[in-house]
Amino acid sequence: MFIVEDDLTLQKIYLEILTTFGYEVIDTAINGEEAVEKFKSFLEKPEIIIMDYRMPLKNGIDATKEILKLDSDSRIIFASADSSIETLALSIGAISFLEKPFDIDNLIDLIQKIPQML
Amino acid sequence: MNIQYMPVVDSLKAIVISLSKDYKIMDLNREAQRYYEMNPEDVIGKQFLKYFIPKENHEVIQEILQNVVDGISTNGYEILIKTRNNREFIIQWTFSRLIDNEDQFIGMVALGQDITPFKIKEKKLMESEENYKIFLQNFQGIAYQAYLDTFKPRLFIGKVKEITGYTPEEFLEQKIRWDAIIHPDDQSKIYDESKKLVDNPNYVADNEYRIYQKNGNIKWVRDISLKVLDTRTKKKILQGSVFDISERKRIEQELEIQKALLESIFKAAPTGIGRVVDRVFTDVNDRFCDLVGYSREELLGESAKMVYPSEEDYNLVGKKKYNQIAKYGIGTVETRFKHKNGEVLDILLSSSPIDVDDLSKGVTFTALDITNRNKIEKDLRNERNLFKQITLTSPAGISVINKEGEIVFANTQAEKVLGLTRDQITKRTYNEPSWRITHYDGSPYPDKDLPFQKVKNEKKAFFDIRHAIEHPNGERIFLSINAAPLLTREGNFNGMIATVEDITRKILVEQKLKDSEERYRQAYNRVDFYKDLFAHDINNILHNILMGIQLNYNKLKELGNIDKYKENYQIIREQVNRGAKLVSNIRKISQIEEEEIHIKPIEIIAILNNSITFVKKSFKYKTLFIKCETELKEICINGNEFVQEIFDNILINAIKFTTNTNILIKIIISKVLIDNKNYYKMQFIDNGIGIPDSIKKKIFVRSNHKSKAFGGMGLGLSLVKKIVESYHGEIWVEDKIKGDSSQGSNFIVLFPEIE
Repeated sequence: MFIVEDDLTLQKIYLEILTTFGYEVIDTAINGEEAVEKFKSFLEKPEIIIMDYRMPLKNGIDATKEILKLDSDSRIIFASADSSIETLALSIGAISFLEKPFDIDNLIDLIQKIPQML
Repeated sequence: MNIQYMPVVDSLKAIVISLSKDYKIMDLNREAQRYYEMNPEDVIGKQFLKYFIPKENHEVIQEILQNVVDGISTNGYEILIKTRNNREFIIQWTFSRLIDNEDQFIGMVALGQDITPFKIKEKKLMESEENYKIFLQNFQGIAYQAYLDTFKPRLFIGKVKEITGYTPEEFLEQKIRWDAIIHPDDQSKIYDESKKLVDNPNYVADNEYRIYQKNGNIKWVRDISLKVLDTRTKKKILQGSVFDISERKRIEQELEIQKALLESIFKAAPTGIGRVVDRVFTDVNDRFCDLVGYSREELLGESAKMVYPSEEDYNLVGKKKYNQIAKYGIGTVETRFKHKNGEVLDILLSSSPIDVDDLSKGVTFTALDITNRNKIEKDLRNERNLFKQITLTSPAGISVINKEGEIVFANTQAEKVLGLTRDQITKRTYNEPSWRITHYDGSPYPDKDLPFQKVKNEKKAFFDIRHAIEHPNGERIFLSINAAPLLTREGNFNGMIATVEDITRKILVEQKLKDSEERYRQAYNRVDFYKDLFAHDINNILHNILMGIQLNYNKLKELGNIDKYKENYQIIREQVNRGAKLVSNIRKISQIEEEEIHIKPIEIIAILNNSITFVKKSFKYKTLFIKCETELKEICINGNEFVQEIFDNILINAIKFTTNTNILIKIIISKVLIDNKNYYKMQFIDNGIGIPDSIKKKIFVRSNHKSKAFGGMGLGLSLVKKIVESYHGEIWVEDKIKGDSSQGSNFIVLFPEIE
């Protein structure tokens, strides 16, 4: 798992939730630019990326485009409070969109369903 | 004279007078006495010249006598004599010598022969020859004779060359035949006529036909011929004369054309035309009949009085018109005619006598219906008055500029707008430097863009042309000008009319408004930015809270110590959802208010089911009984993705505003006809706390002042109302049990059926 979220508190919560449910978080990034750089450096690509939209330096849409360019098999879940970009996010290749606030159950259900969605 | 010769001499039909050597009369015979009416005793021994020769001939005769005396032979000499009784004779005198037996000259014999009859004949012949010559010289035609059997010409005189271009000899020698120069179209006619001439003894052929001249031109000729007998040769000949009638034909043709022209004018003229004699109709054209409604038969022979509305009109026209005719030879009056159907028409009547000096030959007239013209003139006068009134009372300045660009008219308002008196304005041209014309911002205004130039060049109206001018007091005025061309009948530019409005104040207000709008826009953008930022960040905060509390709840659950925190957890979770819903509603209301809503046919039963699932999931801890009753399996309405907002909000309100443990919501869907229009009616009947009548309408209105009891409804129902109305539907709330609002509510939504 790779968490891209500029809100450090939420980053921490995601980390705890995912590890609680048994998922390995290989890294986190606090903006799109850092996410792209880190993604390039990963020897083993993360199975799922949780991507926020509004972030400094580079937003989630641009970061998603670049990551998918580097690896078109990447599975990116958009998690944003901005529902207006849902259509755009899905159109550029995000696998799903979760509008904040959402339940932990929604996130975990989605992650569990991803292999079936491919 | 020897007496023995006297009986012989007396018997001669000639005058014989014997003379002495010195010309004295020695004797005379009876003829001498008869012609000269004198006795021998009166003249014998007297001078011959005195009694027998007129004085004017004395000299000549004396010379002749002297020649006789001298032995020189002489010729006869003719002398006109007048007797005592004034009878005139022409006597031819010859003189010869008298000699005796010894051959001695003893005197002379004067022999006078009366040659008067001969001379008269000769004179007549000469006169006849002279007349013939004159006749031939002046004969304008061709006289000809030809043998009837062969048609060979034997005489061709007169203007042969002038008429045909050929010489008479060419015809006589038959180098050209007459029938060869006849126009082909006329040849058969002339051939027939020639045949008639030959066959009928007394036939006189009189024909007009065309001939080709030698140069190819065509001439019209008249040929009159008949058959005559040549008494000398006893042969029948054809004799005739040919005249050039080309000019007459031309005039006849012109007359024909003139006649046809007059007839066509008479028939086709849009004006009534006719002729009266003593004011009685003798001829009228169709248009005149149309004009007065009578047929030609009804009019001809009747007094013109019948077409006048009154005797007074009739008499007045007679008086005026005939006075004018007497003075000017033509008379024109405006009068009235009465149509057969009683309608009275305005008529312009013009008359002209056929013969100014003899009115009994009749008077021609034209009658023009000027009813419409008079009406147009009246309308024009009214329009002019109207224009005058408009210019006087118009709140806009009106000015007229002639084609040279000089201002020729300005109304009172124009004086105010332009800050000048009318006299001052009309002394200026449209682009006088003293106007100080500029753009509103003070930059130079090109002459070509001024209203006058634009209107002049493009010959069309221009509106709201804006420029500034300067009043004499230095004040800058912003003008708005509407200008239209004044065109001549041929469409040429003849000037311009313009309305001039002082919009200085308006422009300044507009500028302020623009500034204000800009400030408002900036403020709005700021608010929009804050709204977006707020909505986004609040959702993030709510998300963190929700995630945090769920994480803790899960941990407590693992520790098995969950029951006492469960209710608190649900409250926090519900409040997070409520906050998220509030943010979502704010966003959607903004979207509906700011953007154009696109609607399309959508099926709503499935959406309603989604909504029911959603609320059941959202309120897992509550006991919900949601039941849908309908016979319709599929409902299509014109809507969009916001439909679920309607159902979510109504259902959530029913769940939230209740004190019952078991929440019952019944949804009834049916089809109804209201004002001849089909609707889908959806009733959401709950067992909640109900809504008092006083606020039934207010709950759909977004207010800054929240009701304490229903403050929790937030933006939900106002959003619902907006969405329903955007689908041309309706929403309202009733009591579940009529008259008892405490028993629960019935939210009713109407969606128009797709036609």
